[in-house]
Amino acid sequence: MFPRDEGPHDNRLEWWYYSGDLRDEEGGEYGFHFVVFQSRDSGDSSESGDREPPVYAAQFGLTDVGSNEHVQAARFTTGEQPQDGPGLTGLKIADWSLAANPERHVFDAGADDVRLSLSMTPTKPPALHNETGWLAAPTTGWTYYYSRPRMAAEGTLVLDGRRLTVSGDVWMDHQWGEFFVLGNPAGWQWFGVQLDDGTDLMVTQTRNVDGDIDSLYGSLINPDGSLKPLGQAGPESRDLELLTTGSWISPHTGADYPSGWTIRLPADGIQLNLSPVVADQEIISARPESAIYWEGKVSVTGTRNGNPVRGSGYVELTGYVVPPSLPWRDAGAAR
Amino acid sequence: MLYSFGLKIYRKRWAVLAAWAMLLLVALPLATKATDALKPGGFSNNSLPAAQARAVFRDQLDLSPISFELIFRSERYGAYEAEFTRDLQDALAPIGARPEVARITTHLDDPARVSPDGRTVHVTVGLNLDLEDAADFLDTARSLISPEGLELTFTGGPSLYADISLSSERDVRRAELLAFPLSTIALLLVFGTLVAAFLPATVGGVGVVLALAAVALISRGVDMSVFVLNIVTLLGIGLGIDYSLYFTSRFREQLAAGDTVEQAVARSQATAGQAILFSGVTSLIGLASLTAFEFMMLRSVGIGAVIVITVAVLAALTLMPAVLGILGHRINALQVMPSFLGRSDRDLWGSLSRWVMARPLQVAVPTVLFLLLLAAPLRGIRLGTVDATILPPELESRRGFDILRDEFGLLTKTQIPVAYTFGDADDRDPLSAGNLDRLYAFGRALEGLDGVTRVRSIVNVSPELDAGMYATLYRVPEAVTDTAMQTLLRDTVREGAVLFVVESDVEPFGPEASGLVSGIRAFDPGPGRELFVDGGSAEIKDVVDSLYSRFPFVAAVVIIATYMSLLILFRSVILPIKAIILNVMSILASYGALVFVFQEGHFSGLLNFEPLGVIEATTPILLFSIIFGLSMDYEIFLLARISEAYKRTGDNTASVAEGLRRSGRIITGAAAILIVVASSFLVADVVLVKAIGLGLAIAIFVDVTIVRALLAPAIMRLLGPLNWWMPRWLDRILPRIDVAP
Repeated sequence: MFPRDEGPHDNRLEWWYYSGDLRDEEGGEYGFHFVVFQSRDSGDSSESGDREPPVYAAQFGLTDVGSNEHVQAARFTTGEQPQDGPGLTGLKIADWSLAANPERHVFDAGADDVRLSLSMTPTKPPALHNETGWLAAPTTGWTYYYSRPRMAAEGTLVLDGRRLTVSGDVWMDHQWGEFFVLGNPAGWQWFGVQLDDGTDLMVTQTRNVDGDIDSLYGSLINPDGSLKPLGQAGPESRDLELLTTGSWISPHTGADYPSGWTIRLPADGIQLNLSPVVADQEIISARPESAIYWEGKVSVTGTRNGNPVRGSGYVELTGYVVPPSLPWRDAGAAR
Repeated sequence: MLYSFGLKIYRKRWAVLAAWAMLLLVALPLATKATDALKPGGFSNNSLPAAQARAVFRDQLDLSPISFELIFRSERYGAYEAEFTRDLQDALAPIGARPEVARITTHLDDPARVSPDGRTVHVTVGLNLDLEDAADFLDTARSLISPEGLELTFTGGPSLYADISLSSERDVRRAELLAFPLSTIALLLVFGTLVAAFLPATVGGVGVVLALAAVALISRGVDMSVFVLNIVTLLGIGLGIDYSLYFTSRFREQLAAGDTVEQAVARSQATAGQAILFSGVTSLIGLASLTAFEFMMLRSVGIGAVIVITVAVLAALTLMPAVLGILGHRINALQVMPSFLGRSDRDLWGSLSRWVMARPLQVAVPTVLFLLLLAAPLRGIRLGTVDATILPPELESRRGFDILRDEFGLLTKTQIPVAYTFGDADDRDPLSAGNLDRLYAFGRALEGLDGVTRVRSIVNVSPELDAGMYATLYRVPEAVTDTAMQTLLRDTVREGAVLFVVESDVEPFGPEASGLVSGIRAFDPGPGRELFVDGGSAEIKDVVDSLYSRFPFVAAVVIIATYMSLLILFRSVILPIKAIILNVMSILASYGALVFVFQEGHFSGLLNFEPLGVIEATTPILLFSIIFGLSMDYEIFLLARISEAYKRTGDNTASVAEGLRRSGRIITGAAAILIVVASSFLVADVVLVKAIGLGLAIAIFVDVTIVRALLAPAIMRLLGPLNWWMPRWLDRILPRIDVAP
């Protein structure tokens, strides 16, 4: 397991995902999202199973809550990046970098006039979703999935020429396996919530290739790191409810995204309302177009056993952009 | 008949000279344009299954058969850094807007297009053009693509072909620059006088100019290969000089014997002229056989060779006697050294042949074994096709080829593209569940073939997926987010057709790849559906199959025609068989040397080329035709002398010795000149031309040394009276021709 599983695996798809809240010394508030995707071709079933070197795609987004602005950038690279030891001893994606071991994660990424260098220390043990950390992936295949729901972060943010010292809380997801991600009408809504009382919550709702909801599941992670699995396969769950309360149409892609949610955990007496702090946090640099997604910082308010509770969170919405038809399918239809 | 023709030429010698001068004046400007309409390629034809498959790929899968490869490099930025991507896209924008361009694929579409150091990217520009128009479009493309901050190298088919044309022309010029002076020096050694030495070279040169002019005219109506230039030059200089040498030496002999100039011209015409005519005809039989092949390269070389041999014979039979008539005794003017022909005859050849004939078996057996040893590498021959390695490494297209091979691992392994088409099947949607089932089964079957390392297609993405999962994934194909799969869905699927690419580590042009092509073609895709296999491996298999299914018949026709000619000439049933067998042994030795040098790479440093690993499939056929025609000349001259002596003396051993003695120096001189000319092609940049030059030089060398000096007398001694066996009835019905140089 760890630290080996912190590092890259020999599977078709893998990602290291970081999102969180940061504050600078002057009280400025920011949300960020940084993700590295590693995709390997699986070869085929011929004798040698020849494979291409892996492809890395990385995306970065920063939301400046004060100015209501969201900036984003992407990087790509190819080729094996052998690791010097257990864990992720170093990935370079063009001018960005990422390293991770159970004690410390660091990354350096940025966009025009923005650069974020963070060092993060886990303050909770890793949360293995579905208890074992293994679950069936949406549509096809399987995935290993664990989160580090709280990591204390500190670092520097260069923004518009100013060099700011920042600190905050970060959520990290690491997922790998033999599975395929499909876009619209398939997709998912993912929620990572950190409550002020030290509780964390992960909720995922998936849609199948026909656009129907086919699962709603999650994990409630207590302050001591113990985990309670929520939901089950199937569109409904008795211990977990997800309601959409608003929508936002992207001016970039025309996609109609949910924008505002209520999450209920009846058995745990929890009801949370989530609202994007900035509506436009769509990651349009993702390719192909079917992979464009919305990834944004949300504010969290609600109650737990009747008492008010607050928090922060990140939401990921995939499969809302309707990609253009393949040219030959258009031509075929015309014929 | 030729005697009186010689007299006529002598009497109208000035008019004949004037006619040739006028012809030369007309031909010169045309000859300089000979390269204009010549075409690279011609190593394939449209009736081959692979060529038909190419049409399916173009029409049904929108795959451009012709494309440029552009290699961009930055020392400063990585391929995915914004500056690199911006410079690249800016550079490609102007060409992307051109109607000639079908598609541009960069590393942003396919990450495998980035080199391991991350700073080099190769971009494919697919064109809506055929190869010739694509080569013409090259200059436009160069003017449109001028990247700032990135180094650019052009390569790919049109670029390589343009460089092959350029190199072939350069090779011809270089070979001419070497061949003319070297052969003139050889002639000077043979004759000893400047006039006699320059005359054959001049006549040879006139022949080349006229032949090139004829090629220029013909190439306007008939597709002609750029390699015609090399062959016309090689044969034009070699044969032109050889014929003139025979004629001039005979003329000098006649003058020395006391003939008047008029008599010397006429007698030379009647003897040497007839020999030239006859040997020209045998050369024509060999080279005209090339026109029987349905490949532009061979066919047009055959046409070029027929033209140049005809012109060389005409020049030798008309221009040469006219000029000699005008020069008269001045042919011996400007003596600068003793004549090789005129040196006192110590009967080297006669003595050698008598020594051989005293111990025929002891000589024949080791000689045959030695020739078999020379031919031995032939057992490992791998017939293949040419790639950019035939070009010198400093040319841009070759540099680009090397980058693609060395940095991207392309072009080294076998890739066999296969189109699976649904023809007139009711369900032509390749992504329907039923068709995905069929495609999936075919994809697995391809993976199961021996030697297959992987298969690329929409149903060979992962061993974890079964047909049902593919059906789920492709229910809405636009929803696939995986870049590689999205690229496959966009580029390798059309309504009614799907592309599979079969990869293997076997050598692309070897028998294993050929077997793989056969294995793929053997699949039955089911009613209404068809498979089309293209790619280099399929093409070379089809080319080799087509060439070598016809070659035995063509060779048989050449051999039978040659046999009949020799039978008529020498009135012997056995001698022509001996001549043909010895000729074939020279050819086999030459083939063996070609494999040893060009396929296996021995002496590659000395000869300055990169080993091909294969012998280009047309080369053995080309060499057979040229060598069979040329070395038969020497056989004719030798046997003519032996036969003449035998008729006079009836003594087999003495006749062989006399024949060798009397023909020895002139054959040695003529062969030396042809070897010099052929060897001048060793300085060629195009390896193919080097190979033909070396093959020819070796075959002639073996023929006039080992075969003529050792094997021929030994066998003739062993055969004894059988050499001259001729049934009376056959002798009666065959026409009579006498030849003596």
